[in-house]
Amino acid sequence: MEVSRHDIVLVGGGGAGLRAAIAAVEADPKLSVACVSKLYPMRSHTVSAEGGAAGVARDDDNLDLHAYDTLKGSDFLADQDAVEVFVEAAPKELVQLEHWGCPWSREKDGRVSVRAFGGMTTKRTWYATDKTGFHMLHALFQTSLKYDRIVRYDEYFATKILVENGRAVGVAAFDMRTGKMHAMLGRSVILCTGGAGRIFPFTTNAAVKTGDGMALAYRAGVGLKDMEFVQYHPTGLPGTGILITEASRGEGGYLKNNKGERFLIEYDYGVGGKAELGPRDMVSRAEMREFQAGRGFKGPYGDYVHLELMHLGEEKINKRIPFVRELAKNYVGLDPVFEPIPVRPVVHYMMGGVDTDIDGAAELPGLFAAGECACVSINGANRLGSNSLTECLVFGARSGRAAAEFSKSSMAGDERNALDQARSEEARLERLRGKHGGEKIAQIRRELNLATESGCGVFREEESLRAGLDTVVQLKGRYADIGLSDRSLIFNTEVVQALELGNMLDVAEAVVLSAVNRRESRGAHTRTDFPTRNDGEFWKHSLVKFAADGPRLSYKPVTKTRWELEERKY
Amino acid sequence: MAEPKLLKFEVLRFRPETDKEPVFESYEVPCMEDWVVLDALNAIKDDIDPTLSHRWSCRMGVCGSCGMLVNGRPILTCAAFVRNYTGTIRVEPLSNFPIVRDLVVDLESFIEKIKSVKPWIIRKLEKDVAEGEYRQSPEQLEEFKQFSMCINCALCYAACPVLASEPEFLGPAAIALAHRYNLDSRDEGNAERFETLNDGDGLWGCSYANECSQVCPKHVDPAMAIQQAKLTDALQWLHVLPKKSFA
Amino acid sequence: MSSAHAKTPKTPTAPARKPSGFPLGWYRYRNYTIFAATCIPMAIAAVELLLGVAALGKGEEAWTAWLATLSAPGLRALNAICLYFAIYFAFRFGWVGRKIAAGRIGPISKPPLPLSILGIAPLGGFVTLWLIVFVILGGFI
Repeated sequence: MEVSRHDIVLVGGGGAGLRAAIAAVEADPKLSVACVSKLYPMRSHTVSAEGGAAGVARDDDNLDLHAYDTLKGSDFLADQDAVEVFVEAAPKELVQLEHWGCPWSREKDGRVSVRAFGGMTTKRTWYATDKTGFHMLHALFQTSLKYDRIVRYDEYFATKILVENGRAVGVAAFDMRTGKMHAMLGRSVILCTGGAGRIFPFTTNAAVKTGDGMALAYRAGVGLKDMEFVQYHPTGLPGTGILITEASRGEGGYLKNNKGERFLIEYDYGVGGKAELGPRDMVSRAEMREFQAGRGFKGPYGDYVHLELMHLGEEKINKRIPFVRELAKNYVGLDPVFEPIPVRPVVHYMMGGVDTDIDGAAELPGLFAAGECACVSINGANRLGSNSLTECLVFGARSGRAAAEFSKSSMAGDERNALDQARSEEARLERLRGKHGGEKIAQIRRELNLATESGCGVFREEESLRAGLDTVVQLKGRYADIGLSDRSLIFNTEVVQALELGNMLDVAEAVVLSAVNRRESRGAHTRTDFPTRNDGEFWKHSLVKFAADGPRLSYKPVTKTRWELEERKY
Repeated sequence: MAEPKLLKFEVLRFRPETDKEPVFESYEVPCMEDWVVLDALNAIKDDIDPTLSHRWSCRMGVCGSCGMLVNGRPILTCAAFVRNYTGTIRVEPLSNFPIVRDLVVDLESFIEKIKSVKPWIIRKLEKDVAEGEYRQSPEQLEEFKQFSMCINCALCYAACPVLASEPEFLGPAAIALAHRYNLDSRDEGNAERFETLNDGDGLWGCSYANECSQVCPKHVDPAMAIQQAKLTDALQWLHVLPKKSFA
Repeated sequence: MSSAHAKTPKTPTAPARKPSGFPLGWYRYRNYTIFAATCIPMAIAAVELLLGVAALGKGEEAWTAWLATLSAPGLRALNAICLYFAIYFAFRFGWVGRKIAAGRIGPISKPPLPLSILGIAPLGGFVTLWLIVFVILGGFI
């Protein structure tokens, strides 16, 4: 078994991961950072983000306003100290990225342009046409190539966090190319592995979003916070789930039902004058209610509504949202300059994740997390669009610096337990490869998707949640009996799928368990049996922790600094 | 919903532990009308032959993972609609790259080439973040915007006939990326990239096949970047122009 | 340049496969191969010119003899074929070379047309070479 030693072991090479790596080596050029990713970094899911990244830019805007918008968007579940830190760092991070070559769209005078976005009182979303995540990720990846101290381990899959004397000292990761296990040792570990949209059947998320880092932290005893809050993006293509950016509404698009009405204005869905620029949870719920009222269009992949862009004109579409046009033409076969795009809510983002503080530190000393896989929390019960890309940068940088600081101060100690754990992982992997069993990976995955969709969709209630939870637990039992056909060592993607499925099952259990026990409706979590927000009983974060006989649910208080709780009306 | 149709696929397999060389295997896959070739490959992996290895992620044409040869042409399999093909659909890994396993190729040389052109902003004096962004007009952005759209899918490398016989050639994506930075008004690193580009294996390896631009799914037009870079490079080598990106 | 190929791969790999339809199987690769093969007429032109220059050096008689050789029907036919390929090269090169009309060449933004044409000058040179050999020296004038 190979052993690699670095100062910081980073798992995940997306927006947050690369930002953390750069922040760490800039904080201390002597540190060496291992960047362990199951993909080549430029393929990470950050690349699919389209709309933009929010940061105060204009003179008519201020940090308090951004903080308030974010807090209100979160249905007041976000930690206010974290939000304050976030909005302050946001513009600086976006400028830093600009210095690193990110081709932000510009005004005539050469300054960066900003656009309107859902839930934001004023324009503060920086954008690079409508491929912001793509440009940001490539700028970060290409900049990271400058630093020799960032050592990439591409297409390595991390299977366990190695713990020595109660501290995270690295990960066991196997090289997908050779099939051999490596022990990656360091003085701190940063998880930047993204969310887990693939536990649901219809999602904007890529194949790789299987909640790996969340599961790793969970099994190492760290709590997963606010897992019940799953964001449905209002405009995904039916069937494939491909994302049609919120920027299409930001630039003036309309959402219409089968009667041709702009239903967000016509009926009271709580978005008021914001209409199509309401927060995502409200717009998604509105669409579902339209379907329930029979005002949706019927299609082979379920009901949908129309996203109309025709009135924007070809020039504006080509200039501001050309990727939307390309996607509609390729995947739906229509040109949005002339026809409306069919859209429906699809799973997009997980507000919940590894419980961390405002520096990205988790409860386990030496373990940090940032990006979608972490929950600081700045997004609370619902995230505003364009806050996530900024979140990757702000908390990626903070956790990178915090991990660098931690690495400096901690002594590299004994490795014995860590290496033993790595060797057991090697044996476990050996047993998994070509394992005999009666269950099929694809079948369990499909049943998991059905269970989360029916139990834990946009609208939830006690019975279906309980049924969903039971199914997930059953599936976990059946997972122990999966059979694999591919016995090879070299680039065995069946083993990878099996490990990812195990991670998805753990994450799904945390999601449904948190959901069934939150008996109120807040943000993206809507209970038809408890339709109102209940601050008295539920103004707190859910926390799910691993235990041998089943996950334990507890609660954590929300941090409040300056803002009082309000009713969330737009 | 419409019924799935049974389509025939021939997929190149290679298991280095047991196979001496790659062989084609046939599969019959029930495909929906709006499927792409990637959907069929996933159906093979899920339900027919779980030992098939292939790379994929975003399935919307932006991550660059799923490039393969379909009926001999390099294409992103997530954008290759089965309804556009008749008869048996042949799927092979990208040409011009050594095959690791089945449809997975060794892309290390590609990554090395990208790195060798120093694809980052190089400046003598960096501006402080507190001073805000570098001013760049929309016209200046347009100059390099097209070349920044590369998703690193390596289809251009698979199509390039020069790479077929000269694997050391820098390649379209790397040169287009170098040119993107040379054209960026914020960059001052033209001189630093000069050596790598001005080489027989650099820019000058290109012999005008234009296949790269024909297969590029993002319309980057690397052939255009290379020819423009050649003119600039030649004039700089002759000292007619200074080795600077912009005035 | 890159040392990537000097490294032995981590696992045994199958050798890289050539692009499908290369060099003559598919029409675009076929066109490219013919385009690349125009180096042959170029070599013939170079040899003929060298002989001509040598003949010039040797004096009037040698020069006339060389001109006479060139106007022999066999060589005329060969030179005609080579001129055809030279023009084909010129068009094909120009077709890709036109992409040089750049938004920026080094520090010059929106370069003037002559500068862009400078980039496709080789095609003019190549065709001129052939015009000299074939039309003028081949005895057509």
